[in-house]
Amino acid sequence: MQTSDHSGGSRPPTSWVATVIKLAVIVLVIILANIAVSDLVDRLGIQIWPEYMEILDRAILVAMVLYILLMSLPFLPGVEIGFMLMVMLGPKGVAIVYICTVLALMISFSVGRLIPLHHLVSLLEWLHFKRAASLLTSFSEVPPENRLGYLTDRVSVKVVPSILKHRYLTLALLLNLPGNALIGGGGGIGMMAGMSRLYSYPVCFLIVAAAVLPVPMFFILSKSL
Amino acid sequence: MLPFIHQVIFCAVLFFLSVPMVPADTQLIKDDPLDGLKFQGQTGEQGKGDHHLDTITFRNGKFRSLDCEEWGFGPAPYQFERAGDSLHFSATLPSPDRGTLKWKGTINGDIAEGNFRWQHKRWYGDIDRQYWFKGTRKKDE
Repeated sequence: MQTSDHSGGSRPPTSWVATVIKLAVIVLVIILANIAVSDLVDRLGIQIWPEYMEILDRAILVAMVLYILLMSLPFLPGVEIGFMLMVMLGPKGVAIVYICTVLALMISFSVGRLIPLHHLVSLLEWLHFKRAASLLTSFSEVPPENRLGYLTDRVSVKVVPSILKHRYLTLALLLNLPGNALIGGGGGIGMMAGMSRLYSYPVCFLIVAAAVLPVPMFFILSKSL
Repeated sequence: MLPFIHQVIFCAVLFFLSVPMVPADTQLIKDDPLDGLKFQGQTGEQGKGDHHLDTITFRNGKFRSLDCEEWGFGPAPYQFERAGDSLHFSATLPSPDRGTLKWKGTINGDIAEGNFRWQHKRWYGDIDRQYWFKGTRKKDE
């Protein structure tokens, strides 16, 4: 795989510091969201009783379906719903959100892989997702060997050139990068990974399953503390 | 068909067997200071304010929460013990599709205070919530 046009020269060490700081900010935001949602529920005096069980079940099911849908589409705020669900539900809920995330990313991967680009772009334009349509169009114009480099450049990430030689690592890295919303978030990355035809289904599944694991793991650990 | 005399003996045996059971049962209820008591008051989630009015009753060895009964919980047998002037009671109300409610409470004169825990396993997580109840004795009209 060619990555010469993105390897750059010497990388300033500050880029890694910035990435670590961004990750620390995300971790902090997760902790604060956890505390804030619990506090908000207490302050609002919302009470959950057995009589509301059917409503609760349905609301959670709808939220899960909505989460899969939003997560699988580029530029839509799926991650926020995922955070909210993980904050609200216990460890079992976190595990379900994790499964939904993998499912959503595999759906976006399949869409990118199976649906011809012009159909996909038409569909996104019909849905008024202009940004997503424009991203996929410009992505398709990049030669296959430069596509991963194109994505990492779009998120302004300074990665070690050797990582770019490993397309699996790059995909895992892109899925976890703060600022990956610039290339459509998880849904956009999944779709473009499918379009690139650089990954087989089983390999993509394994990468996605491993790459999205840290956040749910962190939630479970923070709940058990 | 049994001869008449056999039928008489059979009925007599049944009668004598059943006789001791009636006073024993009555005795049990007579010794139960909770039997026949009814309390009405507010209930809510632990740490939160009033949610709705509920009535709890103790009758014939069974505890009932009239409001919870509407959602399919109970009635169920209760246990009690004396502690000075107070009476502590506990009961686990089952429901076919909403888990269980574990009640624990104390009765002091005309006041009943208690808390109960709703536990229910769901596909998205286990529900485990605590509630409170505070009621005053209500005489049967």
